[in-house]
Amino acid sequence: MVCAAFAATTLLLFGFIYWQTAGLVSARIDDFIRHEHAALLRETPAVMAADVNTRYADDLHRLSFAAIFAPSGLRVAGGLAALPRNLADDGNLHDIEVLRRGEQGAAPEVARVAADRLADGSVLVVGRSVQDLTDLRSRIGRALWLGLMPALAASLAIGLFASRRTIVRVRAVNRAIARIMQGHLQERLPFRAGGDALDQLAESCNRMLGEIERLLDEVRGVGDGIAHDLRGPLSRLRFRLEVGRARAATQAELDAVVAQGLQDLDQSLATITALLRIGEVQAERRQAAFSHVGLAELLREVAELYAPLAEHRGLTFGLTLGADGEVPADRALLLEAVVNLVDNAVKFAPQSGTVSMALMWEGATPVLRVADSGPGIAPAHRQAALGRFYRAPPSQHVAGTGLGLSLVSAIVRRHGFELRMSDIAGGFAVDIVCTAPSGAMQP
Amino acid sequence: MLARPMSYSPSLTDTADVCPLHRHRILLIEDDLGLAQTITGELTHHGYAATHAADGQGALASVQEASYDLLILDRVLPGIDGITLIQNMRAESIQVPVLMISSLGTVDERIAGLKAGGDDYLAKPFDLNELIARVEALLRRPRETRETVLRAGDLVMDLVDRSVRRRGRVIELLPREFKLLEYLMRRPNRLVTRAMLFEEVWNYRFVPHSNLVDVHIGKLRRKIDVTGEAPLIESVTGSGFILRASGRTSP
Repeated sequence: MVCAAFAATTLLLFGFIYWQTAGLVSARIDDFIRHEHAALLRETPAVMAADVNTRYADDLHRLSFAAIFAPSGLRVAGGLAALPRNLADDGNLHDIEVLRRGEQGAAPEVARVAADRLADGSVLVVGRSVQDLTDLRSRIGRALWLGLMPALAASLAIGLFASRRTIVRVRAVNRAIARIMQGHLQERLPFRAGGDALDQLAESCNRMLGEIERLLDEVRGVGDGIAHDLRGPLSRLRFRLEVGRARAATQAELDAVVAQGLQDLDQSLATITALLRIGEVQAERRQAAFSHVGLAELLREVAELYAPLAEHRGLTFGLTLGADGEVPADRALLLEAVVNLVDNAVKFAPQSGTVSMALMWEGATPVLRVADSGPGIAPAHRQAALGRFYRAPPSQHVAGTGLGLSLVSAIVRRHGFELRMSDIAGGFAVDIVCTAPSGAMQP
Repeated sequence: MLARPMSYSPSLTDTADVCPLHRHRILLIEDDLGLAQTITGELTHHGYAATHAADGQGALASVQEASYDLLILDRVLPGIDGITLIQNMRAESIQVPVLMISSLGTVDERIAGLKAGGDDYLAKPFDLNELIARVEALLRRPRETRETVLRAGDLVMDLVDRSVRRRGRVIELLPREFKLLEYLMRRPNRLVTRAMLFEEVWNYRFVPHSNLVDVHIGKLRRKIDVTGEAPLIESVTGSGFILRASGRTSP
């Protein structure tokens, strides 16, 4: 393929060179003849004949010629053996066979010729050999032959070598891929630094493999974490059932053990559900649900949901709404985040304490605040509280999965918002700072 | 729940209120045999005629030749997947209600299940009580009422001027409380679970705090029952609530 293209290009190139050069040479020949012709025609017949003879005598290279023939066809002067037959005496240039004087018997040669009938009826013939052109053609042909053949051979050899080398490299890459597919995820594709396109491709693949390996490690880590976190409660459950079977004396005692066991199990299942929910929030699949969410209305809805529960627990529930505003958000997710915060607040607020929600503004940024009069989370523990399974030390007896805040954190991050915890007068506040998104969150 | 007009045995839904032990035919399509045994046992215990199919292929044939009142369909099945199965059935105009059960409990999976033609979606693990309540809800869906007045015992709800009266006494309700009571009154004498209330009254797909619904029901109770009146909303420990309407509720 490459060889054929190379050969065609070379042929084209040589053809072009011939066309250009031959064009130039024949134009020069034509110019020369016209010039000579015109010069001779300006002379008197006597001078013309003398000139023609001089030219014949001077033309050692046997290139150009001139001759004068009497009306009878006999040569009067010059270097042609005879007046060429069929030569029109119209002063125009013609390609015609001529025979030079003194070369009778030799093969006639083709020349560029112009002829004119003079006033006395005789004919002036001026011409020049086109042997140059023929020579040029054959020379270029030879050069083509001599140049093209080795070039073709060389390109064929280079092509074979290059494709052979590529095949070797592709084979190496394939071997590496096969090993990766067998589970050797640390394996990488071979490449030379700063190499060609194939090397760059291999490098990109290696970066991708690195990312995949990292993600797989992360998944494995999460899996290990879940297994570890569930082993505790499940061991407790097993222990409880075992002891219950051995020690329960009455049906009522056994029922109590089973009820307690079911509660333990529900706790573990709730943990799994919460973990899956966090995973779902983190996986960016629900971007489509983003719309403009009115914040005051959202807080009112949560207040309506939780005020009865707070009052039921003897807590004072407050809602303070500043100027209303809209943020681009997944309403269901944002609601879930606020609900989780309020749920925590209601859970952790002390006896006859307060729980409050507020929509505030920090400049142009709306802030959703959920506060309670409880002890909150000590500054040192705040970062950890966002991680999975954190239970603040004084509240570990309160039921819950310990995943509420990490779910809130995942939701907040998903929106590009900021989660902030702070001590406020008489309590603790968690803020969702609805930072204006940098274009990414446009619905 | 999708509001699809019921095309099957409308007469049964009327008698269902007074005769809880008629035999509805239910097909369970579930590949986990242990779970299937438990579920069919529980359904039988509640008076249903339960049949079990272990894979989608067999289930489709079974559905085509026998008429069931309800399908309980596992989302993930060997052979035909649950979603595909339900799509095939709907394409063949088999309109039997379908309750999907699945360990794929995420919001997206749930939406996919309902979109494919499921009538309700229950994520595993679930309470057996929850399952039974959902089955009942699907089998005895509320009449597509053109009625403008709902009655439960001496409680009367006017859907046009959105007022509630009990024995002539006007009861003031907040919009959400009205919606909650309406949901209960459309399903008298039936178990309604907390999750069902969260999904249908609040439109939440998560249960934030198990006590929340109880507190709201408590508030509602205090408004509709005054001293001397029989309590209308009954709590079922560990499951949910039943609105007791003595006798027939339709006008």
